[in-house]
Amino acid sequence: MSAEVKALKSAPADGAVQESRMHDGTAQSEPAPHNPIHIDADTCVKCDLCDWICPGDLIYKKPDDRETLPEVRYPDECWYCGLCQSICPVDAITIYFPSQMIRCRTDVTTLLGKVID
Amino acid sequence: MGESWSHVDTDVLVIGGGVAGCMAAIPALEAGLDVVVCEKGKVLDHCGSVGCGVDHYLTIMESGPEWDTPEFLLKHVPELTDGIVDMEVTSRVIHEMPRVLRKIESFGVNFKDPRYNDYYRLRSFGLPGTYHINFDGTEFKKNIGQQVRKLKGTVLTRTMAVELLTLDGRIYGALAFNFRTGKWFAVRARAVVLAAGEVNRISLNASGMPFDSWHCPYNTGDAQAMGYRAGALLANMEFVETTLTPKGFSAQGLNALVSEGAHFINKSGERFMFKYDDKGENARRAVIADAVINEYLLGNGPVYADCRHLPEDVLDHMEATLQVDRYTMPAFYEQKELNFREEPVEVSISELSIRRSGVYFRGSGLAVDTAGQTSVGGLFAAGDCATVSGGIAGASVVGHIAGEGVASLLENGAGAQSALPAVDMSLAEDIRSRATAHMRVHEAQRLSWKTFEDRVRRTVTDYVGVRRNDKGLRLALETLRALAVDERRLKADDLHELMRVHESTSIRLNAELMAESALARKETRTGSSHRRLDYPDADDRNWRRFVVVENGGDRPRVDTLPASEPLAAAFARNSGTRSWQDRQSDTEVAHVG
Ligand SMILES: Cc1cc2nc3c(=O)[nH]c(=O)nc-3n(C[C@H](O)[C@H](O)[C@H](O)COP(=O)(O)OP(=O)(O)OC[C@H]3O[C@@H](n4cnc5c(N)ncnc54)[C@H](O)[C@@H]3O)c2cc1C
Ligand code: SF4
Ligand code: SF4
Repeated sequence: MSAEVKALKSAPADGAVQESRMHDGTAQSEPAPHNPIHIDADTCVKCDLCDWICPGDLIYKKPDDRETLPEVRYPDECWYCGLCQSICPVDAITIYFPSQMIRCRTDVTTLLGKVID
Repeated sequence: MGESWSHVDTDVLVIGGGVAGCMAAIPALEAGLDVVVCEKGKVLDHCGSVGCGVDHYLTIMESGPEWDTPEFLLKHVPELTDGIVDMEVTSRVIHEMPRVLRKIESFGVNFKDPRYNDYYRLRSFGLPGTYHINFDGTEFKKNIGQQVRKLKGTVLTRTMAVELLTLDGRIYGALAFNFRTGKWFAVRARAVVLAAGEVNRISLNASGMPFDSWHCPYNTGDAQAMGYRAGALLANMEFVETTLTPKGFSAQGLNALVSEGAHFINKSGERFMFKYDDKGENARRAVIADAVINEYLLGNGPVYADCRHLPEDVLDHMEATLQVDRYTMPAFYEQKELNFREEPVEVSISELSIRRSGVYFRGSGLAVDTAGQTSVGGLFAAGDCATVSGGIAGASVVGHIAGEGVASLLENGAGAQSALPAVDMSLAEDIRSRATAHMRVHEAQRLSWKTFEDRVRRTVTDYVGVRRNDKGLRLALETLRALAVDERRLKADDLHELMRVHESTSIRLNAELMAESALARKETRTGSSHRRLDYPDADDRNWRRFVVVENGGDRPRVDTLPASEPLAAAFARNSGTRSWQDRQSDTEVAHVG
């Protein structure tokens, strides 16, 4: 294996991707991921719809149970599609964007490839 | 996790219940066949890319003028695709457009604009006519999903297909698991339709959040990966697709602005798009993205979408329809405290997808013939995983063609009336135990799928993305192959993560196929869809050819074919008829895995 490959294989991804690199055996020292889905506990009628509709399987709700709130179990896998919000019959869901999105500082040229010759 | 299997027998198994999958299921059900749809989502009415609604549908309507005929559009396809396109399949698709449109209308989709009680058609993406119907497609997916249920299709929800079953080069089913219950399915089917969408999560984007993607991040090239392992031929895998997004949110939010007259400007305020195409902001998507990439590389960034010159009523309309591209777009602007009426919106390029490189009818993925069948007998493909595609219309038409193709194959062709072969249970057990081993990886060995995927994305972004050369591609291939060795260390802490682990491995394999194909195409074509810095020009003399790739055992086998011929000309099954029944007694199982 060449030195470059070794470096690429193990390199921590730089800057922007850090937040997505949790659970690599170092979970305890990582900050909790941003939770985009805020469910208003007073409004929610515990109807299961957000769990049903999420295309990413992120929201878990105890089925047919009018006592338990839904849980956003995999918040860093959210597509920000808004389906859960749009289907909620009582508008209990608000979506919050993280700072990487609303105050994005990434230099776009870093997405355009490296040239080696 | 239960030890027992759920055995399901059906005529047709459809993998992926999105637009193409539903549209394939419908004609098969109408022909009286038993159809099972295997889908990762829970609700057919909303799963896949378009669960939140759509707003444009590309079609011929034969309304009178010459441009609205199949012949006219077809004549322009070579220039739309830079000459790399399967004209035979595209011709069938374009001719079928009016019929499939009427059929979808019969499901209750209303394509008409209530303001005029007529179709409101727009010219966009560089097409040579006003082919896009602009409509309120909030209920589009719901209507076609309902039709599948009405016709009594069976849906296995929250179920991920992981491997196809083949016997003697012909398909007979697939293995899948439910990621909420852990139940494993062995589905036997006389034909299988792959319709699991394009490849996403394959490169980095501005926010650095892999699931913040333009396309559906839960479509990860599983169909391409399963088809590849089963021996199907893939084509156009070298082409990447990117789009422009408001910086920080990888969503199609700029379409609505640009189609209504927004300009792109660079840091000096220059409206630069006409430097690249005389259609300016109306050029093909691939051209627009390419122009912005170029401006950034020239040091002219940031680039902005500017609406300030537009009249109030247009701005009002834009504001009122912002959520059409993405439901959450208004919230994004609000939380960003950005008013696009008064300030230019900073633009980024999105992450890459392997889909159809911003070009209609030139899909990247599983090669299909005019009936939607792949090179593997009994295996069909449609939608964004197939070699002819084009948004919801392409997915609908090719899906419908594949559904009819399945029906005719099972009625008249190979496999008609035959008994299904028995599932090779030792093979099935082997696949399941390899899969579930991810839940038992030793702590010391543990590799997170997130870390693994990030490494794939870093590699693709740096060396397989919008600027490529021989050395970079070789380095990427070496890295991607080395990562393959790590796959067995991928740890799944629960069933949901077991699904992600399988997605990660599909992503890596697709990245490898892309790098291999890109290495083979020694020219540049369609700008940054395939830009070779070491071969910076298009080479029509030598490269009016498809790059095709198939399973070569240890490594992908890459070849090229003249683009003047249909891809199906290269299908081995067309050179002699095979019949799986002939070999049913044969105990040897030809599972390529
Ligand atoms: C937000 C958005 C808006 C769009 N708007 C438009 C528009 O207005 N007009 C237009 O023409 N195009 C639009 N598109 C593009 C269009 O949605 C796609 O081209 C089209 O949906 C492709 O259809 P498909 O069936 O291939 O994929 P999808 O409709 O995405 O369906 C794929 C399905 O496969 C399932 N799946 C994936 N892997 C597996 C697996 N291993 N096992 C089981 N199931 C699996 C997925 O859950 C999904 O339901 C839009 C896309 C997006 C993301
Ligand atoms: S859809 Fe709304 S009301 Fe129903 S469970 Fe989810 S948050 Fe609660
Ligand atoms: S925004 Fe979409 S992906 Fe995110 S939790 Fe809601 S439904 Fe799921």
